[in-house]
Amino acid sequence: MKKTILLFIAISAIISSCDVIEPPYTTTNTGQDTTTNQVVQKVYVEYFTGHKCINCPTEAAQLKALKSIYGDKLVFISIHSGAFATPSAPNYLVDYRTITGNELDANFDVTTISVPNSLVNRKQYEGDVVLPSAAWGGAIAAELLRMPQAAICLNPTLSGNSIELKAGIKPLAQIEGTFMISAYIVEDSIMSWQKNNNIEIGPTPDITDYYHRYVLRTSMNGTFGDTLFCPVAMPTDSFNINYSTPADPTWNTSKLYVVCFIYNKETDEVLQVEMKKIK
Amino acid sequence: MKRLLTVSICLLTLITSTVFAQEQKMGEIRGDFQTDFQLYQEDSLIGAPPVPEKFLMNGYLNLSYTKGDFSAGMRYEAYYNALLGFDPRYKGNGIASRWASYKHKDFEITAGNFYEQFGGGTLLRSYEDRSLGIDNSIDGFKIIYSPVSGIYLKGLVGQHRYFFDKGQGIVRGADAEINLNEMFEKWKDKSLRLTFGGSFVSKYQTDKDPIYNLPENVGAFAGRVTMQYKKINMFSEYAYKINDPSAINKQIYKDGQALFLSGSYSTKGFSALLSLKRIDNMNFRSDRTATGNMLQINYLPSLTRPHAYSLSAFYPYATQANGETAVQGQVTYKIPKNTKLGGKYGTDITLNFSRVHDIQRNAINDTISIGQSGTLGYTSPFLKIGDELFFQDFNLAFGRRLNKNLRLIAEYVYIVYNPEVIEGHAGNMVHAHTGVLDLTLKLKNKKSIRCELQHLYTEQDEGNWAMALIEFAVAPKWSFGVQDIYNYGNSNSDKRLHYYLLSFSYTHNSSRMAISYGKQREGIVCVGGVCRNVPASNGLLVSVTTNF
Repeated sequence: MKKTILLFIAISAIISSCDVIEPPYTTTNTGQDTTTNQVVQKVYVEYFTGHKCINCPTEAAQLKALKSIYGDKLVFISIHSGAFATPSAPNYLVDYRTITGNELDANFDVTTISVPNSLVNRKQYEGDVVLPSAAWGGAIAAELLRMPQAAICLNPTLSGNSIELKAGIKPLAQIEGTFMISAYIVEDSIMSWQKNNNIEIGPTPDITDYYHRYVLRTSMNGTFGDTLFCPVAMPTDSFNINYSTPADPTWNTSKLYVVCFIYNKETDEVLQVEMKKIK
Repeated sequence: MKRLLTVSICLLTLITSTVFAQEQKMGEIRGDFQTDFQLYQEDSLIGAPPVPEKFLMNGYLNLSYTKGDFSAGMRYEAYYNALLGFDPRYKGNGIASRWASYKHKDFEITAGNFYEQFGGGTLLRSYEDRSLGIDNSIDGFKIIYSPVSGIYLKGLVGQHRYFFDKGQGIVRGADAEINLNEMFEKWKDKSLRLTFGGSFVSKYQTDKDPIYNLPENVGAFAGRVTMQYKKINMFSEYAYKINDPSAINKQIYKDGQALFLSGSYSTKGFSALLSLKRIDNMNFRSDRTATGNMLQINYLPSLTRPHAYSLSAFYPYATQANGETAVQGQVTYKIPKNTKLGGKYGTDITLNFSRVHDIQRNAINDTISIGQSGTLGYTSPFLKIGDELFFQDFNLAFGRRLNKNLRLIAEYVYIVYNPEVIEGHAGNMVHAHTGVLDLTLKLKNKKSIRCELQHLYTEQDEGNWAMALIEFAVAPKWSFGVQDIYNYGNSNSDKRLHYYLLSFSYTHNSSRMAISYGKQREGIVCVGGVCRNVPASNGLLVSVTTNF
């Protein structure tokens, strides 16, 4: 009888475990920081996608919604990689794949899991580094709660067909470990074909004039960057770097940005990120 | 993890040595090993992805110890690295599960990893299928209790296995089953056998999302009836789930429902089966962000016939948890032997048909599009079927012994396959006609030769395929095979490729080694409507299994 009572209590406890959510289902939190002269923690999202990925426009809309909440505090780039990013006739002839993107994909095993997926600060969130769209919001929110440990100041310029970058990095606290710096070039709002299965986003199965946002074009200093400091950096330190890379003539230079981030070589975790328009 | 592994191995060694030393007075140890490894060759022609490691391996060891009412066990797994087609997050090695259980009379308690199923699994099924890379064992506590004859109660709490870790959500569940024939003395000998069951399952996961107000506790319940009357069997199960926005349903707040109805009649030489299913937003996982085959609480089988022949199985169906309506019927008849049609040994005929459609989805109002995230998504009249066809399979199979030593199986399969829904990428609806001839000739001294000829005709996807296989076996130990699958109808002449495969297997007592060398085309492997993608590969695959 005791066993029956115990089971009955357990079952009753379980049955009471339901949260029915009433509208509105979404929050109105803007999350945007209105202060301008203060260093803020930013979060870096590497979004792996492909122009033949039929689910990607829906997931990209999720990223755009998060961008509208967090504004400049959220820096995302789109990395076209994997089977859905290969060119194919007659309409998907553009190849957005890059050596850097492919190497990142292989290193983090992203597209072998599924597409689209993202890395958020290349950090594990609830047991995973490679995150599906439903986890992006939580992971981004968690990362933005951190106190900024470094500030990055970018000064990119376009000289002829050469992209020049001068960057200054200032630790805001004592940072221990081997930290790397990477600088990538991305191009925003490239219009071309994209597979789609969501009429809410656009025509199906193809959107002929889809805007691909912040598409990774190249790295200025290799896929995994250069060592910035090791084994420790103090708040009294400051680091200056200079990089240059040729701009491909097919790129729209008025839509180019440089994305620069610092990450821990041992853990891959991104400490801080900054993004700036080149022209 | 390493410490845990060392301790576990020491404990098992100690137990093993103690057991053998005391001539098994201390209990019994059972186990099984399985290791699959593959050496990969680059082959860009067939689209085989490069494998930097060249060599990949999956390995498993199960050990269990039983003494009287007590049992305990563990599973060790190693992936160096996981074979292509398996989730790369299976990496390294570790103790994937460990458990201890005590069962006494009507009471059983288990701590650690366990598998369980409530009813048909519509609400909860925890199971392992290595071929799919699925192991959603629950790590926690489980109690099974039968207070009186005919009443079975189950309760469980725990977290799903997630690679070598645990999932974020906590699963709680309870199930009760009443078997009237066991419960009441006067029902014991009745022809009518009746069983009723009910389940409740809830999951808990914190809400950290900045956009959506997410339910942290999601509950679902189900009821079922099993009836048997003479040669008739009937099963029905209905499940309901409250709002559960997730990665799979694109964050909609609609409740979920599932209904299964199945009836069969079986007598000597004849059987008939009819099954119906309706699923609406019934993806149920312990982590709302999970995708693929991970962290699934429930199991939604497909109502389609699993095909065994290579070309017939080219286009398998994967259950669409977001919504589908399915029907399957099957009639099996054995034409009696020594009749004009049946021949000397009789002839088996199986006719099977299945069809799967979307459910009817209507917009909630003029301003919200169907399936829009952060809304109720859509409304769906329960008995209305959607227009979009997901899958259809009509197949007819004959099996007949032509003489004492020669057996023939012939099969025709017509499949209509929607790649956009099933595989998630754009593509035209595939109409595939497949014919199969399978001849087995028994020779002397337990030897046999088997020959398969298959042909698939389609104007879509990769066009026509032909396949031939010849297999020589010396029962029960040896088997040698050669096969070729040829994509001769590919519209791209550069892709009219042969996929040769040589295979060999050796079985000795409870151990088996299988070796194959050759090419494998990219495709999908499905078991019961749950699928995984298999990338193209070229190389040597070795599989060794043994039980003790």
